[in-house]
Amino acid sequence: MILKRRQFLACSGAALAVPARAHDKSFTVVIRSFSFEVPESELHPTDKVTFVNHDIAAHTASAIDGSWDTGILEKGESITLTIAQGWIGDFYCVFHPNMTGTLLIGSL
Amino acid sequence: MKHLLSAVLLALSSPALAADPAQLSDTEIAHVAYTADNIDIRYAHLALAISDNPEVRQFARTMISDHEAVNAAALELLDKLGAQATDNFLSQKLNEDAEDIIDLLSQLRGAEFDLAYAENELGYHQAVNDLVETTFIPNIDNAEVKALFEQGLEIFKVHEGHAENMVAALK
Repeated sequence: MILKRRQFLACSGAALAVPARAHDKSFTVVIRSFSFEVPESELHPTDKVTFVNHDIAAHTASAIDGSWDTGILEKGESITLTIAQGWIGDFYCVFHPNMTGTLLIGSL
Repeated sequence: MKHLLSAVLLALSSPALAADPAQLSDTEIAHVAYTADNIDIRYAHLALAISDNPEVRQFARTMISDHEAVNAAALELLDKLGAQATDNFLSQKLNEDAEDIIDLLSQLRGAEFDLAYAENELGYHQAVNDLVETTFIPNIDNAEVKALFEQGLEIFKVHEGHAENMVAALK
């Protein structure tokens, strides 16, 4: 069947339309009183997570397998990371090893 | 192996201690805290100079980071209040006794040093935490200084737990 030009363009547009992204969301992990206040929701690759330190002591949030790391966050400092495929959710503070947290990281 | 007593224990148990720590003013208490922090920072630098144990070295780095942070917060608060930390008998005694402990620790090497350092850290933090919680905090007049000490105590209790785990692992 030969489509008319208007029909052809409508079909092409529909085929090329990108579905609305379910991810690219932003989350926050608050570091306070030697604990990590983590989001309850699941995170996915391309989501952003901001770690903010409210303690006097410096902390890190470091994946237990080394897949990601905030680096040292002094009092009042924050950093935003973008979740990547393959990141593991369990992390800890390098300075205070009993200080641990878990991000629920799903697949893309 | 000679048992080390923390500088605080030595200072508080000394018969030459004629004055009462509970009678110190807020600025004198601040000076004692600053002194106690600096003593632990010195112990940590000694550990980094002598120990090869990764856990001991990481603990020492944590001590330097945390105690420097508390000191910075204390100085910031004193500056805000227009006050200066005041030297006193207890700060002086802590420093004198810390010199003795540094002399002892610096003669040790290897596993003997690691355990001695860890045990001293545990004893030191236990003694400092007890002093802060039972003597200083109840007697601090200024609310902001008291709040800072409460935050400091939270940090030092984490250190105490960390030191306890370190001692257990080294024994």
